[in-house]
Amino acid sequence: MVFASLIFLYVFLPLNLLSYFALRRPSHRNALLIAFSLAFYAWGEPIWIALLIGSAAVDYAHGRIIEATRGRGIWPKLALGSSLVINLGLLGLFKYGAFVGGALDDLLSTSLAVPKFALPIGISFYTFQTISYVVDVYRGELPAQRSFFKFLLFVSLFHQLVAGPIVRYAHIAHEIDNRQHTLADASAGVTRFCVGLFKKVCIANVAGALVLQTMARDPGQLSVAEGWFGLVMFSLQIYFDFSGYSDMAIGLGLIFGFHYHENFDHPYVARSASEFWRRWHISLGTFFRDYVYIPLGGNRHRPYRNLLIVWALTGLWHGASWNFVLWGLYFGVLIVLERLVLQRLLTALPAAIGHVYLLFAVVVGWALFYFEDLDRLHAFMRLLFGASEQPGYDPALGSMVQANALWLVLALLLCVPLAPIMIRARAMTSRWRAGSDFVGGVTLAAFNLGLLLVATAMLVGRTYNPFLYFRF
Amino acid sequence: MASKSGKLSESTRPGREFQILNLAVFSVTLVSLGGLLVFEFAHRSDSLEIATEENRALAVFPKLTWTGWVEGRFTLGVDEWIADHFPARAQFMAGHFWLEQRRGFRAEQEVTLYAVAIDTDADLEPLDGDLEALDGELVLDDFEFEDEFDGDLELDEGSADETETTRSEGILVSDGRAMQLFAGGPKGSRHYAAAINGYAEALRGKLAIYVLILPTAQTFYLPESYTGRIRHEPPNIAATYAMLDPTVKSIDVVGALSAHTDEYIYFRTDHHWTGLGAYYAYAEFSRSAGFDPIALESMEKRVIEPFRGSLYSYTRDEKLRGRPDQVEYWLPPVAAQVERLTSTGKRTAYAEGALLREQSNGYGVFLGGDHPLLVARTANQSGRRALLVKNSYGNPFAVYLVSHFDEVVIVDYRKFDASLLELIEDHQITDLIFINGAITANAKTHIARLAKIMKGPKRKRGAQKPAP
Repeated sequence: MVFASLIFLYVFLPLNLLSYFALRRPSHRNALLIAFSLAFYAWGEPIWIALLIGSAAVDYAHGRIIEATRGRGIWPKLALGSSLVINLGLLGLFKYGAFVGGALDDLLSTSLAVPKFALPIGISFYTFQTISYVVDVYRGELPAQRSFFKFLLFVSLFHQLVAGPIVRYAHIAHEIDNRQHTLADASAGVTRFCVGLFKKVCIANVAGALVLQTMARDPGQLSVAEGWFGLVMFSLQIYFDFSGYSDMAIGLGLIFGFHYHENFDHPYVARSASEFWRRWHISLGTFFRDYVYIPLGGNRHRPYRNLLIVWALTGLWHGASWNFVLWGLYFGVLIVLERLVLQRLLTALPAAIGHVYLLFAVVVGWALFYFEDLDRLHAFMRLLFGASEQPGYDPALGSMVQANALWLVLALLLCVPLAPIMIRARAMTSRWRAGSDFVGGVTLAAFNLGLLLVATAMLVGRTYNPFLYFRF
Repeated sequence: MASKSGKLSESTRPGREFQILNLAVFSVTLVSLGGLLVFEFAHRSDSLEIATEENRALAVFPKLTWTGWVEGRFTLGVDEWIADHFPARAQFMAGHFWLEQRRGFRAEQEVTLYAVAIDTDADLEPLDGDLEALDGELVLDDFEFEDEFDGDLELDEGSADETETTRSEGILVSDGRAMQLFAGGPKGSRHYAAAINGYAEALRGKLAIYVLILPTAQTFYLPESYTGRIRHEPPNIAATYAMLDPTVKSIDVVGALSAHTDEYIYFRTDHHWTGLGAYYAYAEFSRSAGFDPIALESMEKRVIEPFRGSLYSYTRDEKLRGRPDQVEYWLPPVAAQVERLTSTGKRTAYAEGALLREQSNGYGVFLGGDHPLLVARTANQSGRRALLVKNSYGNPFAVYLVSHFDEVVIVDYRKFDASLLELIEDHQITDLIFINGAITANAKTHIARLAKIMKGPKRKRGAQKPAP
């Protein structure tokens, strides 16, 4: 199931809210959340739910073993190794099996019959969550969870199960047993959820439709300007899709008393690639920092090698294809360059130059991300940089931009941190406007209702499926 | 960097009563719309319901089976059911279209491209509010394309071209007129010609064969700024004609229509041509078939209005809404007895057909929609009997033919499921006419279908006609 669907919004979520808050005891509420989470997963992935539960069982057991054998020679290390082999093995089998097989075939001119599986939804996220748990237990930073069901709740919690953020066990361990449900949190959660839903349905989906009309087409039919426009639309789509999903997850967490860490912090206002990655998919960046970069030696021991390893893996995490590796390494190289020279230069120059540099670098990077077919990527790059025979501009783009102008302004505005600006403005005006609390409070509820209904209209509208007598 | 969420400072946090308000509004909306949905579910019926605006049957709640669940069909079916039965669906839909039209600005002479890939092989037909027809056809007509394709057509040269030939590139709206964009290519031409040549080969010397491929509105009304950006139909049609067997008579529909582009030959809101457009093609055909076309003025003209067609349904473009079409039709001067038969040639329970179903609210007036097999008998004594192999484009064209032939057999090749060669023999056909729009004359499944029904399904042939 996905959040941005009618069945989630109007069947799953109300049932879950009603039954959850009808129960009083925390253990009952936890059991209910597990049941709903498994149903959520099984709705779209009826078979691989066994893998999810199995994976949780393996890591639960390894956590217990590590704790039970702590201080007894090699056992904890063996248990950690075994957990990593199983987790990465499953990820490798399901996500990278065909890719590695294909690469080996190319290299050795063999034809290995590597089985190809449909990727179980969310495996990249929950595998990393359980790895972080086992490593943290091994490092002695956490006590192992004694209850399998509580551990299963952590792994399967539907808020973040299928698209992150990658929640660390340490962040919610306390809240599994002792959640505070406050009105303030729940209200903030509702707001956050509605904003995320709007970002996904009204910005990302619309941008996605524009991508299909431009970037997704044959580069031989596009003008240079259409290529760039399409790429910018993809940059908007991927940001609003992903961050909207994180917003919804964080909002749902708040409603149910969980406080997940932020996953996005307006990445497009960054002024360097390093800063971008401190603002983009933060839970993934910190995972690689804590579990790969620092163990490899971090800044102390061969930092540039470590950076490139981390970035190649970051790229690969996004998908089993060479273009993702390329995309990761592209950022790795940029970050290395920034550390060596660029950063000093950028700090000396006006801020605007940093913004322009970063936006250009990121947007071009999204082309690497988009095209899994390297030939198409090549053709598209030639188009972007004027190495093709295509015209620079076509009037059709003008009317497309014009027809989406208001939406475009909204989408670009939402890329910058508006909320803090608005809150500051409100704090200023409220000093001399009597009754602004009332206005503000009512406005907030109406605003959220508006977002919800607009998103619903767009979801219903997408299902508009007129039968066109198109069978001639 | 990573901070805990939901920590608003004290000064910006709404007061307790407003937090309650916020929560209440949100939950009440979810629960009430969800509740209405559950109510709808509890009162669902298993019979077919029709969405009149969208001209199709609403989704029926799926049956829960283990394989249906595992393969995702059940969940997909539930999603479709919810989409079709969502409370206040019409209002939400209207809201959606209102918002869509306000994403930006549109100039008066604006060209809007609805870049939707339209599957020309969608497997439903317009319902036109006709429940009887629905029961009879929607359920009966299942297409089977699995059968191997006879003859020497190589349709599987690769899949790259498939999407090009079976889909239109989108809908373009300009100056209050919507048109579909053509996406055919040389491969479509080759295959279509090969399919027709198969008939020419099998029927050599037995009857006259005519082919009409008609362009869509884009050929005559495309805004200039788009001429360099699309594929053009006339060269494609000409290429197809050039590859036809020399005994096949190709009718220059493009030429016949291009003299009348300032007349009402295409709908603005529908993908079909009008009765008038079909008339000019019929006039051109008549010259080739050797008789004088009936003068338009000598027939009684009637009009159905307003008519908002398929392209309006799809785009909901406000400019189209503001200028609905009208459907003009002319009563033929000759009376005809029309019989409706099933796809295998058997008479149906409601056997009576009509050349014109005047209670229709649109294009369905012509032949009363698409039927597998219609036989129109007249009192003419020409000694000629026509078989028209058509899709919906052929419907208005068919009406004109009864003035000249003793019998007009009309086959919708998409629905007919027997052998055309046998049909030709049974009815002693003298004139075989194929009519297609350029888009379907390039569509793989349509061409495959045309080729397949020449001899009909293998199983039936074996059963009906034991080998001598």
